[in-house]
Amino acid sequence: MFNAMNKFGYSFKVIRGYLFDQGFIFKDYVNSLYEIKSTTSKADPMYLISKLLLNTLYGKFGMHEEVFFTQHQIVSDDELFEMIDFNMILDTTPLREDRQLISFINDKARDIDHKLNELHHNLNISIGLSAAITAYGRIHMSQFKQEDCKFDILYTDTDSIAIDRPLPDKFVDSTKLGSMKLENIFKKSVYLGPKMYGGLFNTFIVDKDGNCNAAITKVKGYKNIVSFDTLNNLLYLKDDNIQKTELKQEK
Amino acid sequence: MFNRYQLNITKFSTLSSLAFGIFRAHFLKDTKIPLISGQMLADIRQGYYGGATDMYIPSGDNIFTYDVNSLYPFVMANFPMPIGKIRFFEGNVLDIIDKPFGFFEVEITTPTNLKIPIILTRVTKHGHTSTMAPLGN
Repeated sequence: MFNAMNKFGYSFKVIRGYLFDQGFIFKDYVNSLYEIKSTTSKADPMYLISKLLLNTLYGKFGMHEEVFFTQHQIVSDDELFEMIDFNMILDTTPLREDRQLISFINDKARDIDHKLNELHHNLNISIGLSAAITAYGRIHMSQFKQEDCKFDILYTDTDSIAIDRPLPDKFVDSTKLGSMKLENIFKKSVYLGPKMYGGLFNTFIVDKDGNCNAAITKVKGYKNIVSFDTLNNLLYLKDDNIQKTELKQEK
Repeated sequence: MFNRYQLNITKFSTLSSLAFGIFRAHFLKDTKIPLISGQMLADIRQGYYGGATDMYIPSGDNIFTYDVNSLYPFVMANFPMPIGKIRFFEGNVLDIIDKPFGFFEVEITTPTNLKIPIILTRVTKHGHTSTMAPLGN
């Protein structure tokens, strides 16, 4: 809030709220695991383990209560029909023959509010932590969105930016926690929307799997590779001759 | 894992619960993290968003893309976290406390000429929920 007020000119009127104490409770945890992550090679399993341990902790404090009541079971179609009456079915995954893997919440566990309240004391939820962490993440990113920045932003994601010139050196350090790392330089790039973009390299770049690539593209939810030209053409379509570009997903 | 943190991974069904286990066993010490439930949980959950993802200029040449090294772990280590005893209040806390720390319900007036707005809110339109950063009042 003070970040937005001082640097961006927002103003606030507080209506009500919750005050908390402050503490740096994750400092040792993060430093210990980041130490492992930055001193092991990417081929070492400990690299991935430490990275995942670092990135998954914050979500644990913000888990949806319902997750704790969700059960999973493999049932036949007939059993599933019986269960619909007194369970809320969240998800089904067809398995072989007539078996399904289902995720469901038992109505009994769901409806009784006071039971829920009792249980909360064993759930280890502290949503304030999760909310604070993602909020600080946005604050950290907001320093690149200020008015006095000497570059134009084309695209931002949770933790990345695409800009039209190099960042000042003081922000860049590929090993330091919280600093920026130069990911790619694109000769040409298109941004169609959140999580849908493409970039064309100057030369072919060999990726970690040994493939030679001229471009990177990403389309939300779509796993196959889309050519850069496909995305580029989509951008320049005129309204009066909209062509449908169809993407088929292999299973 | 066992060698380093003396925890048996077969006891944890997910990685995040293992992360939680390690944190609790070795790093939490005497700090009190409040368990939040009921109305307070619902209130604060309203303010729980992910990151901002947006497209501002649809295409460009000679573009540099940057990633933050471990954004969330970085902020976890370097910014104060909301812990300890929780106090509820109504009214403008800014009149009483210089720099209050916590979660507040606020009315926001934004500048109208920002290039890139930074404060997000959730908007539901035609049954589809998205997060956006408005300008205005």
